[in-house]
Amino acid sequence: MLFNPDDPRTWWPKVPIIAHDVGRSNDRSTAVVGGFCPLNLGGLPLIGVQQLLELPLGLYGSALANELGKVDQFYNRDCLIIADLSNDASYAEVLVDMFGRRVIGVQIGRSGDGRTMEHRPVRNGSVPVYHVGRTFLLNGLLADFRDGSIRFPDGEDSRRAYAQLEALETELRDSGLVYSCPPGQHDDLGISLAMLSWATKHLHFNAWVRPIFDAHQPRRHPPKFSSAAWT
Amino acid sequence: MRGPRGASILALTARHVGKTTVAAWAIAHAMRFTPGSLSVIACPAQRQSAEAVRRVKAVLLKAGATLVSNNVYGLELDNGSRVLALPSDDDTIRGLTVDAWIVADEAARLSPELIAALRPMRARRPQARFAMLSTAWSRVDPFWSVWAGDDPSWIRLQATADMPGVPFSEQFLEQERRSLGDQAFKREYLGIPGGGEGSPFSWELYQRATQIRTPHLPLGSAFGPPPPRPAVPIPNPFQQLKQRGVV
Repeated sequence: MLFNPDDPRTWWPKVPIIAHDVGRSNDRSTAVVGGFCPLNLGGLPLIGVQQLLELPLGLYGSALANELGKVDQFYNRDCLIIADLSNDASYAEVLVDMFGRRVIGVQIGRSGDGRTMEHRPVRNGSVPVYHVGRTFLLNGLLADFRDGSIRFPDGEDSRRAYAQLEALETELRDSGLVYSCPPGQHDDLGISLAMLSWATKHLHFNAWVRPIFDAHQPRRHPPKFSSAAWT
Repeated sequence: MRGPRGASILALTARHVGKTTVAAWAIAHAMRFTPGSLSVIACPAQRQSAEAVRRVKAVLLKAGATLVSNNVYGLELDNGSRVLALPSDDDTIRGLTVDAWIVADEAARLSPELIAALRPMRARRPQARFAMLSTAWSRVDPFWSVWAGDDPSWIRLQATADMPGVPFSEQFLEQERRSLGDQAFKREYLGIPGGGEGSPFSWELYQRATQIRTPHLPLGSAFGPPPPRPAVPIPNPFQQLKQRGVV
């Protein structure tokens, strides 16, 4: 397939990003895969969305992480995982067990610009969790759409995701613009898309992807000592 | 509704152009001339399905057919052909084998589960036709997903208010536009699905993000494989053997 900067299906991003929204009992968990265009054509970096997946209903904990692992495996286990930990804090532990330091947590609330971070302790270390507002996420995505710096493959999943964004209701309050999901509808794919867009622009992005590049460095062999070293 | 046997038909229409009436004619034709056949009609509510069956009945009576069973939700002719008005619950319609028409009326308002339950009804009857008739609703409903898809096996028909021959006066359309508003008018009469009235995520942004531009000029020869060299004629080696006296 010939590379086309307009068609993200022809890209192979250096670091694929999986934005993972964790569903509750009545909505689905999602995984949106994307990344930067490998060819920088000048101007704003292009963000491409390659897959928009709805994971099966009724999966929680390690079963859900296993489904996410299948997506990660398709990309050679090199993905950066941006996971929404707003509803289930304990899920971070399962994710870190499976994906290690590639996991970045997001706590989505009413406000926050994604710069406030806490290290949430888990069994084998900690996971960084960023506090970000829902409006901030969606405004960032909207800016990407308006700038033309996000590309999609046209398809049923993409249309479904965009229809969720299109169906959002907006209100202007004292605190500013507020997006709300109409009753009976879902916005999980749209929020995952917004998380992906947010992650690509984050100040700490280079630090996040360092463990992925480190894993590909050739292993340094320890120096060999002989008995002469003791003389 | 004169599609070939086994056809899958999509009809995107304006309101009140007669889609249910045309479906009723097609079903009545199949009942009259295909003895023992079964047709079904599914609508968002069984009351609407019953209304469609009532129209089938009117056509059959005009054609002089004899009804042996005449119910609100079903008809049967003396040749054994039947038509059923299905409820909108997919759990209660399974098990039917349709060999004439499956009509999903107002298909945009039907649930994906109901559509999924209707489709296998003709799995063993390749001559059965499947028609989804609807006005536009949203871009993610089951009708629009198929209409906007690229599956060439569907026959797509459009009868919206901007098409020639549609029985609406300009005055009526303008009146409707004023009373319904632009978005609802487009949905009900022009076949353009709604959405995005309050959200800043407009459909134009999506189209811009998914647009794939191709180069205006074809790629030069340097991008392709080298052209094949022209063939050089050489004498037939078998003739040379004969000339040397080897054979």
